[in-house]
Amino acid sequence: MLLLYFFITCFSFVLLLKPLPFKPLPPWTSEMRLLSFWFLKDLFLFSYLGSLRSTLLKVLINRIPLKTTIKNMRLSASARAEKSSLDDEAGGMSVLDLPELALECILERLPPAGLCSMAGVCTSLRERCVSDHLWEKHMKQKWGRVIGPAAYREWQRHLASRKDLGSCKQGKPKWFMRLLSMFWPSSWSTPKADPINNSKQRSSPPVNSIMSWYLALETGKFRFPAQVFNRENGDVGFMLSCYDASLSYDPGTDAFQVRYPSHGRRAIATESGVPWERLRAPPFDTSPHDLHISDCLNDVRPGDHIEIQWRKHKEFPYGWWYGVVGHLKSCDGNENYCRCHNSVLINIKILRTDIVVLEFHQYTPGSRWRSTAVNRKEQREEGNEADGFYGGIRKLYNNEEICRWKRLWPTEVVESHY
Amino acid sequence: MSSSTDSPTLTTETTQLSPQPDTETAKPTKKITLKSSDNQIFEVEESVAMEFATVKSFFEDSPSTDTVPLPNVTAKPLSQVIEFCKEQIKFKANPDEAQKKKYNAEFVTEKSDKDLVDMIPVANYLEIKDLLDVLNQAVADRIENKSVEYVRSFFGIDNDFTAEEEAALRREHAWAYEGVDED
Repeated sequence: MLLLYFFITCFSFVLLLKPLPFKPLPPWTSEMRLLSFWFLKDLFLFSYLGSLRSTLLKVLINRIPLKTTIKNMRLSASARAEKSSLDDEAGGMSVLDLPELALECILERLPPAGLCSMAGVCTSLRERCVSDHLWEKHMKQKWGRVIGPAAYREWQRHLASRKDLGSCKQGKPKWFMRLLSMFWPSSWSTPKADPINNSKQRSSPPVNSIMSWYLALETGKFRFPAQVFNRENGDVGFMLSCYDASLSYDPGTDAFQVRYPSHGRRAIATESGVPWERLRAPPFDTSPHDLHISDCLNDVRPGDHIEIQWRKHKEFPYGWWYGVVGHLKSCDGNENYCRCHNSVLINIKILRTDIVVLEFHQYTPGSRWRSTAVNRKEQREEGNEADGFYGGIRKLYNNEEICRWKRLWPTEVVESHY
Repeated sequence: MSSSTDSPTLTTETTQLSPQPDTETAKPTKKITLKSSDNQIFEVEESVAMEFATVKSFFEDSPSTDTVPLPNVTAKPLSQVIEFCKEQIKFKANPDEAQKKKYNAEFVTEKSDKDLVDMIPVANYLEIKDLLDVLNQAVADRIENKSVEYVRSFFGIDNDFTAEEEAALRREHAWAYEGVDED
């Protein structure tokens, strides 16, 4: 995996450099940029690449006309004097009598609403302002936390259902699609349409642009799937859980309208005014009905924070429930004698235990929801109609995730599941 | 320190408030003459002129030149750009990020929209990155929450959308058009 990571990183880096001499960049380069960006979780590396790219661009765009300018300056003093101001750089000038690069910088610094205003100024600015590279940043900043591949697929379905879609499937190489499907985080980059050729819809952003997706989200016109903590806020039965739901944004209140799927006889429920803090993108790109196959079971030890899948009935979707790894009954929790982790060294012999105890401290001691046990070796759904069914586990490595669960902690001890 | 502004020759000098730590600039200060497209002459200290990458590379290519012609640059924005660079030299000698930030903010605040927009091609042509960043940000700040009409007049752009296109845009971007500042 690590090797692959490096390969992708370097590969996309080479791609970044290579198409530079050709302007405009081929449509898929922006996708490659997005792809590399998803891999470079390390922000430093990303900004480094970004600045390198912009430096290179700058050198290419700026330096070349500059050199010719200096040559021109030397050619003839009289000819020089007659040159009208900025004439010989006209090729590098934009509609606003600003250098291309400066205009680009200004657009990059505009917030989404500012970009929309600029897009309404004239057709030439329109073409610039709908460009994906300007919206990537805004998309990530505002929606990155709650948008996952499922939401992207939903958007693609939404687009496909629109009659006026036209030819948006252009220009996406098959190999790229394969690469894309291997790594889900990149799958929300969009195929790019040429806004110039799209003269029929000169006033609208290309339907498959990041801008149009951003606007669909921002205006609440597009419902998307995501996960919501503490479903039906205040319902103790869902305390410290996280469930899949369908959401739409309300820009007026900066909160969400949420629709929860029905669970058996429990009808579809809706909730409005759900704040950003209670949302997340699903951690895995799997159906909420699928058992999650854990890769952390040999790694968990007492005190670790986890989420476990749980559902009341087999036909219901799973939710993720927060808990901590506890000690076995036979163990008093004393560090020196604890055998609850499979590689604890006691008296030179390595003792193994395959049982992992999970505790849910939000429930009263003695409650049947207070703890459960899973086997490290056998991954399957465990449970019964009375207690519900426990599925896969994900260990929380990220302190931010743990803190979020703690912020959601109920003020009182919870008596029951829903 | 004198600063003669008698026409036709505009002469600007760096006021020597503090001794320059740089040994090169401690030598008797060399002046460089810049000539704008409208034939105004600017005499600036070498250290200031070297802030202009374009001028710097010009001198590197032909060191014997005494006057650098700037056929792309008119006198007014050039004088403002020189003013900015003179201050930046001081901050180079005595780094004070807070003061520099304050100066940069004041520099753009007191400029008219036209002054800002006119300076950008000059800063770009002379390759003064810091100034370009300051100017680009200032322009972005001035237009970010303004109406479409305001932005048009800011840049002097004609509306080339048809009435239908314009109406469609307003429908689509209604949320962005709400709550803009007064023009």
